[in-house]
Amino acid sequence: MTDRDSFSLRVPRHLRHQFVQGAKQMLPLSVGGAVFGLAMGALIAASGMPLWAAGIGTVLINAGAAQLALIDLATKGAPWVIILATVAVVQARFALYSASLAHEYTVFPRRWRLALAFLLTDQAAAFEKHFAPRIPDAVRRRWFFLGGASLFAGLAMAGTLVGILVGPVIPLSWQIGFIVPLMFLAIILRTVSDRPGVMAVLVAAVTAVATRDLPYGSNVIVATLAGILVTRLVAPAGWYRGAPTGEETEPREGAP
Amino acid sequence: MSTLILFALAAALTFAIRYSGIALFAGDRELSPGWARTLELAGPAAMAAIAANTLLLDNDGFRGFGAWHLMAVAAAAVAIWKRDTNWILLGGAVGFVVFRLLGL
Repeated sequence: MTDRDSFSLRVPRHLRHQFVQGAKQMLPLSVGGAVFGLAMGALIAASGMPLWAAGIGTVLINAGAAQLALIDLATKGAPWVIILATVAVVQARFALYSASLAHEYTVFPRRWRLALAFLLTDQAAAFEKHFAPRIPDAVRRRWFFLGGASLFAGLAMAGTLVGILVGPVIPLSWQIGFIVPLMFLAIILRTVSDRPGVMAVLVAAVTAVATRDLPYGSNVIVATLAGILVTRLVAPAGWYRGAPTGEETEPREGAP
Repeated sequence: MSTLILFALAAALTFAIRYSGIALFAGDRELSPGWARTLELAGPAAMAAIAANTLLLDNDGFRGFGAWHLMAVAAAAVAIWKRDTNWILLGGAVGFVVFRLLGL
């Protein structure tokens, strides 16, 4: 099979099977992504943003936490440079994920690397690191990855779009904005358990409150940088359990 | 239209970040432990800053004690019981609705 065939409809049965197997393995996690998307869609609907633009943006970004940060700051009137800087910091962990997957992806054609990079989420990264050693054939592996990552991203996007459509019927008195801190708390409570992570969370939270009077919502980016820098300066190397580069991790449920 | 442009810029930025590691470390290069630790902290720190900003503050300063704070306590309690994002979300959301119905 040639690379030209690989994205066409003439996909051999054994590769279609790999795609479906990847999707099946990712299905339990994808349900969580759909629920997260549904709540975020309702929040978008309540934010006052043009729904068509937010709908297209959801598909373009494919990153729940970054989109939440963007919506929160945009509705507060923050300048674009602050919004984009915050999005970059929220997404910085994906540089780590993609670095850890670089050796797996290096044998894939470029368009596959681009497609899989677009579909990369917290869950897809853990999923791909977990299953990569079990599928030695690179062509089968990339179809397996594509099945899992595209199902997760697809259900998360679908959930968000449904939430955008359903959201306008939710009354303002319900204070749907509580979803923003709840979603971030859920991710933090689920994923942060090592001492450097806890320290970064506490420093960032305290700094965000202490610098609340900074203009344009810039307290968020200041607090984030404070959390990172203070932890890097104070936490000894022995506190770190080891960066995920090169280690096998279990896929986990949660936000896209 | 400006909203769409903002989303498009954010999308380009997030894609560049996602692809950066694949592009930079495809060969024999490895991410240094120091950078790996720094990037590892970025997500928790950013999310905590946004969570604190939205949970504890509103337009007029500190948010008055009520359903928002108790929702966070409920979510933390569920997290102790089940370390599962969906359960934490459900527990926090149900808690928020209950506290609002109680007039908090």
